[in-house]
Amino acid sequence: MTKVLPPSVVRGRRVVFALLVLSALVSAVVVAALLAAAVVALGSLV
Amino acid sequence: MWWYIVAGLTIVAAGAVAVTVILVLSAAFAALAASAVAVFTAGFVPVAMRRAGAVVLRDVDQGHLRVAPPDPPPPGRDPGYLSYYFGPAWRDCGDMLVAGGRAAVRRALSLRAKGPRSVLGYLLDAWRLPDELNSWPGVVGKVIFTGGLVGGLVGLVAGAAVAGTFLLVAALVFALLLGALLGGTWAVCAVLHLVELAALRVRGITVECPSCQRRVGVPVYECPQCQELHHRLLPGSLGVLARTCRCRAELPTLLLRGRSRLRAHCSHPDCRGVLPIGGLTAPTHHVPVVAGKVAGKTVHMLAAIADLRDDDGFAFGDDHTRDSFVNVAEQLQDLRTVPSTLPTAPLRAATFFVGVGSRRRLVYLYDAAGEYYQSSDKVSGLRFLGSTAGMLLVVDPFSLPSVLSRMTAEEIELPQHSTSPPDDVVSRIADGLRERDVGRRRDRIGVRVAVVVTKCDVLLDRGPVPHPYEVRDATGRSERSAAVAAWLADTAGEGGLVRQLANQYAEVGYFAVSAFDAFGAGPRRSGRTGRELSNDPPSAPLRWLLRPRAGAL
Repeated sequence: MTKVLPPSVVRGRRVVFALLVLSALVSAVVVAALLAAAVVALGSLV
Repeated sequence: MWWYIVAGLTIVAAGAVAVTVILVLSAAFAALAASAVAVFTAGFVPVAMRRAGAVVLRDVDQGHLRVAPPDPPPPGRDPGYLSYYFGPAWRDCGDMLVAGGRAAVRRALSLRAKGPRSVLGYLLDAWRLPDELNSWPGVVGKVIFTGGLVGGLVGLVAGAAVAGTFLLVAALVFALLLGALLGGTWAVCAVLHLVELAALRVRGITVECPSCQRRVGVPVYECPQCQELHHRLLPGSLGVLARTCRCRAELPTLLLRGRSRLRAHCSHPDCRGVLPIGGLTAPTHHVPVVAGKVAGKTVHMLAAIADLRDDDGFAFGDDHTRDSFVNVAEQLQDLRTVPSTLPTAPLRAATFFVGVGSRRRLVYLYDAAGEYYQSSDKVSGLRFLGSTAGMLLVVDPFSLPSVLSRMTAEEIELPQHSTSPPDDVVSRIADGLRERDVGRRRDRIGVRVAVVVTKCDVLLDRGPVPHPYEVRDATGRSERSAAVAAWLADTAGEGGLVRQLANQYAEVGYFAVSAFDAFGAGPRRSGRTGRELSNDPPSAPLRWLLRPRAGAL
C-alpha cells in the first residue's frame, strides 16, 4: 500500500531529516576529537 | 668440493634474500591494504547517512508509519491522521538506523553475489588471484597477497571501528534530539490546551447545548468537507496546531486558529444537537421568555430579535435560528400568522450574538410553550433554569382580571390573550430557580427579571385602561420602570405580583412594549388623550438584562 503522506507528516519528516544532519555534524566533531586524542596519545607513547 | 659448499651457501643466501624480500613485500602490501581499506571503510559513513536520510525524504507511506485513521475508528479514536511526532517519528527513526546500518554492513562485509561487491569481497578476490598461476610464482604471490589480506582485515576492523563510533554517536545524538523534540511537542500541546482553558475560565466563557440545555465541555466538531465527527479536536496526538481529517482537510485545534468556525455538536451522545457557530468565543447569556399560554412570548421574541438585527455585531448563532427568523418582518405584519409554540415541539433555544469586542455575548433565548409553566413538575424539568442569567417575564395586560373586566365592560375589541395569571408562573419559576441553585444576591435570587407588559399598542389606542406612560410622566429608564410597576400595582390590581417580584429577585425592571414597534419605536398618539407617547423598544428588556452589572438600575 503506497499513499502520499499528508503535508503535516511530510513537514515532520523534513524536521527529522534536519535533526539527522545535525546529529551527523555533532558526531563528526566528536569522532574527530576522539581521533585527535588517539593520535596525540600514540605520539606521546612513541 | 668447496665449489659445492660455496654454491650451496649461495643458494641458501639467495633463498634467504628472496624470502626476506617476499616477507617485506607482503608486510608492505599488508600496511598499504590496511590503510586503504580503513579509509575506504570509514568512507561508508556518508553512504549510511544518505541511506538513512532517504527513509524520511520520501513523501509516500509504505505502511510502516501507520498514520492513517482506522476505518471505522475504534472507540475513543477520532478519524484524523496520527501526528508525525506521536509515534511515526520513532518508527522512522528505527527504520533509519536499520537502513543506515545495513548499508554500511553490506558495503563492508557482504559476500552476496548480487549487488556491488563489499570490501571483504574485494579482499578475498584479491587473495585468490595467485591461485591461477599454479607454480612457484603462485606460491610467492599467495604469500604476498596473504599479507595484503591480513592487513586489509586489520584495516577493515579499524575503519569499521571509526565508522561504527561515528554512527553510534550520530544515532545517540539523533535519538536525544528526537526525544527532546517529541517531549517539547507534548509540552507545547499541554501548554496550549491549558492556556485556552485558562482564557475561557478567566472570561467566563462556556457553551451550552440549545437542544438539551446541558453544558458542553468539549464540543464535537464536524469536518466541513466530509462531515466526519471529531470528538476531541484539541492539541494532542492527532495534531498540535491542526489536525488532518481522514478526507485530508486540515482542521484547526485551537479557538485562536478558527476552531470555533467549524460546525459543532453537543458532546452528550443522547443529544448531538447543533451548537452555535462561534461558540466558546463569547460569554453565553441564557434568557428564558416566561409567561402562561397565549401571552405573546413568541411574538415578543420575534419583535425583540427584529429590533436587534440592525445592531453592530448582531449575528445568528445557528442555521435553525436563522431559518426561524428569516420571515420575521412578514410575520410581524400579521401577528395571526405567528404559530403558537406547541408543548410537544422539541425545546430549542434561539441563539444569536450581540455586541462587539469585549461586550460581545452569545444569547440563548428559550421560548418554552406556556404549558411548561403550568405545573411545578414541568418547571423542575427545565434544565436551562440552571444557567439562567436573566428572565423575560411577559405579562399580557388582558390576562389581568382588572384590565380585562374594564375592557370587556366597554366592549373593546381585544387581540387573542392569555388566561393564565402571571403570579402563579412567577412562583413556580422562583421555586425552579432555587432548586437549580442559580446563586443569590442580597438574600434574593441572583437573576435579573425584565417584566414586559406587551400589547401596549391596544392600551394606547383604545379603551378605558390608560397606557402605563399616560399615568405617570417618565423619561429615564428608572422612571419608566417605576411607571410600569405603578401601573401594574394601581391600575391593573397586581400589587401582589410587584411585591412578590421585589421580594424574590435581586433586580427587577419593568417595560411597556408593542410588537408593532419592532422596526422603529416612534411616538404614537394616544386615542384617549391625544398625547404622544413612546413604548419601550421591543429589544429594551433584553438589552437591560444583558447590560453589565456595574450599571445596575
